[in-house]
Amino acid sequence: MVSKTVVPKEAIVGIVKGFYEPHKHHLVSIHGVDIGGSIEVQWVFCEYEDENIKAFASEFAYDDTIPSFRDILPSSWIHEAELKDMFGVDVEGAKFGLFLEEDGVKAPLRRNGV
Amino acid sequence: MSKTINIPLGSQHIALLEPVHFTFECENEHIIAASADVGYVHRGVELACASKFRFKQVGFVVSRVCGLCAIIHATCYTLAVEKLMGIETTKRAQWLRLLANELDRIHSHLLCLAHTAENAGFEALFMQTMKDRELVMEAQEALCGNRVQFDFVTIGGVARDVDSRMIAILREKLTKLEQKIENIKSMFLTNQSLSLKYKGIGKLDFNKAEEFCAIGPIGRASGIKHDVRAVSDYLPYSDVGYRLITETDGDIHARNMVRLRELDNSLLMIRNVLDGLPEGDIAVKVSGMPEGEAYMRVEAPRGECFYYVKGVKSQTLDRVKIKTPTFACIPAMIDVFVGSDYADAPAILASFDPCMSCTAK
Repeated sequence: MVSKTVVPKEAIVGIVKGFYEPHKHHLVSIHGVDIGGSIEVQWVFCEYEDENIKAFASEFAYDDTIPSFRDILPSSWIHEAELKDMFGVDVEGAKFGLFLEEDGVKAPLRRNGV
Repeated sequence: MSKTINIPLGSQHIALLEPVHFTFECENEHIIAASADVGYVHRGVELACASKFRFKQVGFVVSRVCGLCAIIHATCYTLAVEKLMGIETTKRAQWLRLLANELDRIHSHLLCLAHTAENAGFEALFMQTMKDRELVMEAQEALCGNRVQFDFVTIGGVARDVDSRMIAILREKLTKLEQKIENIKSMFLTNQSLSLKYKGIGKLDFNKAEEFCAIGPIGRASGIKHDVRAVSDYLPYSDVGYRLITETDGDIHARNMVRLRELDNSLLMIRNVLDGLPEGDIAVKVSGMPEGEAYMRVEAPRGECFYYVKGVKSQTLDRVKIKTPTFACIPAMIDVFVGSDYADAPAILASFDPCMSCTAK
């Protein structure tokens, strides 16, 4: 069972932090989808002992800063670094270069990228 | 203030199979900080899937994300697309998919165990395990027509059927393999190089595993009760004797034990598939085009493999996101390195069974 909740970008931090219970959920993915002119960022969680998938989604402009969840999810840094590389967006505290090189392609998964 | 030294490991190193680079900040032999560069083999698979290929071809592309768990990627992608298109394949195809998935798990776990033995300096066991692994490679070849990069799972079903002759071949290979695995297990349990040496080394305790969202054999070795096969009916695991396997120590030895015990369970499930394989077609007709969003996860040999697929009722998909288990476990791996001795780093790395091809995709 999959449940997706679209959340205003200003509210995403509070809503995800309110939802996430470390003993119950684990982070599955943080990824983006270019929806034309902006990016929908999705935070996907699963319960350890249940098949339910919970996704939160917020829309961000290309020049927005996407919040980091490293304070509650220490493993989120790698997902956030990938998001920064693939979409050329600014993610709070994330470094460029997990997969891409400085002199290589930029934002390959953005519709106007490469 | 004590003096520290930075020691690199990789990207080319005798103890590494994969192109990954670590920098360890060490005080004498003790690692006090670590960082990783995992992007050496980035190939842009996600972009290719959503731009260069039709959705029916993407299954063949994602099979090439990883040579070891090719069937897992194809299964996860296919199930996601089938969900979008409302396709339910036949029972026989589901059981054959399960069979191929578990053969894949066996050969992947054996490879990991072989390299763990190699890192312990136990070259003979490495050779022996790789030789024994040939049995499952041959079984995969009999089933799928190829030893690796098999395009067995397709949208709507599977590409090849099995007949009684092939089932007999599979049984023969697996009977031999069962005996071999008993020997390997005995070595891992009783040999000092492999059991005593690795107990307490590379420890990821339950709380840390939970904090870092560790998955697969890494998480289960630390006591995390999580396996996609246990909670989801994406393939008929509940019909063939699946059971959740966990350990509690969270060290290299516990990870080895989880994999060894999972080998037993996979062999049992394969036997049950061969005994009870339902009759019928191996595929259903596929028509239409995918529309909407699908979230799918399956249990790869290294843990949870996740696909997000977005279709817009066109031949080309709008987005394919691939999250692989090694990618998710890198943060936990780096945390385990910190506090360990540099000399143990290759063994710790091998116990995480990293796949950089999957990670960088």
